[in-house]
Amino acid sequence: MADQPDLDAAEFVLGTLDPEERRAFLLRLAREPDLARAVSAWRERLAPLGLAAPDVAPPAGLWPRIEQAIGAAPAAANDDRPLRRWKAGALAASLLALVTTGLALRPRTEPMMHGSLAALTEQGGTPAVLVAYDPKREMLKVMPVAIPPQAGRSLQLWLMAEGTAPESIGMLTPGMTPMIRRMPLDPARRLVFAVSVEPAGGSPTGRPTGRIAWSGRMMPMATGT
Amino acid sequence: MSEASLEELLVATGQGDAAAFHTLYRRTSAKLYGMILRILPDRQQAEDAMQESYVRVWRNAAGYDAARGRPLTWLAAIARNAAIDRRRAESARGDGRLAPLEPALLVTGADGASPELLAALAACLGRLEEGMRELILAAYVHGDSREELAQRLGRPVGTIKTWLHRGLASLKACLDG
Repeated sequence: MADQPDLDAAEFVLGTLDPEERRAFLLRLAREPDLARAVSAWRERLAPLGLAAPDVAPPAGLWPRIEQAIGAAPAAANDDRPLRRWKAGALAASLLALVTTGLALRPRTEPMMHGSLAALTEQGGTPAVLVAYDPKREMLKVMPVAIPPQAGRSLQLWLMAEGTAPESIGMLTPGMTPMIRRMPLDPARRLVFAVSVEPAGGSPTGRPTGRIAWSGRMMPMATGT
Repeated sequence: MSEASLEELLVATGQGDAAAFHTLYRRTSAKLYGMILRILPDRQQAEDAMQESYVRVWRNAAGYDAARGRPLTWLAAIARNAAIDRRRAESARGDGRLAPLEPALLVTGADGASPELLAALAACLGRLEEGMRELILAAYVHGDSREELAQRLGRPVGTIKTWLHRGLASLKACLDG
């Protein structure tokens, strides 16, 4: 039997909720795992309709636009030399020190741009996640330090640069290995990283919909810190 | 030579592998573009929605979990959401065009809808009253809002929600057995 919340889930998938109903539904979706399951079930039921669309080749100019939008130049296949240099670099050593001592980062008065770091905390407590950036190689490294398990929820990491919409970096799980992403960033801008608690599988909207668990501002690191 | 599966490409994309993402794009873009065009017949708008979709795929690929469904279903949901967002924004400006209501074409390929699922859905849709079937198809395939559905079918907006619910409930009962 389809009950009212299930029919709301169906209309959500269909796209026929009006903006106000949709907003209210998204709030509930963030809090109710059953609702998320109902949405998934309706997606699977109706998906064949969408997938039955005839293929139409997009214009050739579309891919370069996408590439530019994500900030990735064409990548050399299987080239992990930059990653190995990263792992061996002084920045990694500084981060290890930070993890073992648990100290918050304080910038020096004359910072030498060796890299940047954000320590994500709940109101300035012990960092739960560290996010480091190497501007020379344009590599972002995300290291969960102390993430409690979240039943039925997913933790999603966002970049909030001033003046632009939040951008999803990826999902975090307890015990995961560090996530490394190629990402052009301007560390001179005010960059805040935040982790939100989302429905299982992540935000359905491309924006944070749940509460922010930890956040922190990216600060430049001086050499030898 | 064995090809990487869509799932493998998606996982690699989630780890920042731009080459895998390009391959994923080559394998899936025609399908997604075809889907988006049925919601946004204007090519410029469709291309914008495609760009938005693949940017979201790149940023959210690490969150893909195979337990939640097939990769193509996940990609298609992202594309559909991007297209509908765009369509709602355009019609708020009064620029939206209603796509002609065509019967859903039953196209299946290696990476398309599974024949069994499509047949089951077609059979269950076939059992609905004609008005309800049209509503669900227009909403899902063409992305019509309730107002547009009302306009398309010449009915008051208030009855559209009731009809949708009845049709969806019947569909669920038929599909779930």
